[in-house]
Amino acid sequence: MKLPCTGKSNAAKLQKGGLKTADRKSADMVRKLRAQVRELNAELAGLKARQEEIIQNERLHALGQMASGLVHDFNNALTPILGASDFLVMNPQMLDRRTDAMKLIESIKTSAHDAKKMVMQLREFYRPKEDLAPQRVNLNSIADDVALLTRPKWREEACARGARIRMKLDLRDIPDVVASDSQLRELLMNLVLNSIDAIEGDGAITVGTSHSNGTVAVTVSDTGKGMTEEVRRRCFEPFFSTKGRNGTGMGLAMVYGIVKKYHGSIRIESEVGRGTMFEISLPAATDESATVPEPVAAPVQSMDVLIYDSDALSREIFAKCLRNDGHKVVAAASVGEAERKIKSKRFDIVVVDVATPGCNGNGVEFARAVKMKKPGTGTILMSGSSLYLKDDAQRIEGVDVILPKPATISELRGAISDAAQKIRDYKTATGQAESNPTS
Amino acid sequence: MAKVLLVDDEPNILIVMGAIFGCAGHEVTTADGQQAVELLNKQQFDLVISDMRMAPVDGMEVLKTAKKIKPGMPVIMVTAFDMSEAKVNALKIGAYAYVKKPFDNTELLNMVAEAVGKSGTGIPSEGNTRS
Repeated sequence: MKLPCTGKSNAAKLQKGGLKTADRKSADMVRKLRAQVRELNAELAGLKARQEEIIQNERLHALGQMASGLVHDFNNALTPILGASDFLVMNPQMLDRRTDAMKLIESIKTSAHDAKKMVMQLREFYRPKEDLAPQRVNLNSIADDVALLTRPKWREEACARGARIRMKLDLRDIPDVVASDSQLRELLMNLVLNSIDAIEGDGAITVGTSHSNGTVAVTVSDTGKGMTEEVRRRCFEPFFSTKGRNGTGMGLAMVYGIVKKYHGSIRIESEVGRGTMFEISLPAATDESATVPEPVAAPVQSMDVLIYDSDALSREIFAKCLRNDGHKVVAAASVGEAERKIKSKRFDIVVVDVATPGCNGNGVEFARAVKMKKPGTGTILMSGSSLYLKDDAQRIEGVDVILPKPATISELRGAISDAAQKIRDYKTATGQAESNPTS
Repeated sequence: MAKVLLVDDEPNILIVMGAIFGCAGHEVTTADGQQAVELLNKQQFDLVISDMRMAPVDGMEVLKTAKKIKPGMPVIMVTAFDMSEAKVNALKIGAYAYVKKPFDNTELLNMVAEAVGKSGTGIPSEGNTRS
């Protein structure tokens, strides 16, 4: 049977009309869904920002808890530095007694290194975490760092309230794990701070490491008041705290988050009145996760170096060290002076401090401007700030090498050598390899 | 000049304080908290300068031992902490003074000269009194 044409055409029209309506409906739906996705994304971004804020607050809280102890350690480190330098200035004849004078100078150096270590550890702790890539790290060195960093709290502060807390490190030979060392430091620090808080009178904390079957374990045990079953069950919940106004309730929640991020697990043993033991297990690094060892810096031949640092002492010391290594050094104290020198002379390397006034904000802008005008010039950014650490150079345009301050002579030499390598790479890439600045 | 016992558990601080007091003409002995308590029981000193926070024997124990053995001997407490409670406790037990680290060499030397002069032990140096 033949269907009437009109019927077919009506059906087609109806179908077409229906499809149009359906299209409109789906288009509306897609629009609504897109709007919802946008809203959800905005909400997610807001939550992430809030989470970062809470984590930062927790870090500040942990540091705040140690503030007075840190002041103590810093004052202790300053005592030989100020005492010995003042003594040598007041008694220059002492310099003729070489052995005695060297002893004093050595004590200044050791104490300054102690202070530097404290600042470096604090800087690592403060560092924004989002850009820290996992790397091979050994939990033994993290445990050493944390024992030292928390010392003001478990030793000095406990001593001040008439108690004695012993810190024992039971560190075995263990393989590396793959994680951000900064986050592991934070994790262990939170566990140790928790242990300190759990000890009311005298007590002991033991940080131990071990490994078996491809897993590395770190344990933090204390002889504190222990946890009830309910506290043990809820301790990883965000904002759950037994410390009242003294706790944020985020310390162990952060520990949990870090452990999960690196595919690890946590075990707790606790008994009221006897103490608590946290065991964190993380997968051991495999051969594939091995990192390439850092190449040894090539010796650098004499180069023309401009140092621009508004701090006179730092500028003079670095200039002296580099001149002593055979480099031709020109120092500039202001942005105008630095710009004039760059216009009048060709430099192989420009060293600039990040906190230099007058160059559009800071030394990064100065380095960037140098690189733009003279791309074959190596740039070293000196930084005493946690915003710019050594590994950040590759992500900062115009900066070849970052030299964290305070720096030793060998670190300064290393930075010069790295910058020379960058110049070599640039010249090879642009076909100017014959004017190699390094031997 | 006086026979001074310097007490701290940081070797660097002892090296520097030893040089400062030795150069000023004092006869210096250095020790940590535990050694100080043993030395105080065996030897005679004119003055003790002790750190507060040390382990296992802290400055308060050194102070108490010194006061028990020779009540008139001045004991100067030195600390990197700024805690008024500890300061009050130390002064109550009989500390001569409570000095904050890092200290000024000349001020500490003057304080020692003054303390030794007042206590009548040792021979105070001329013009070394605290203003």
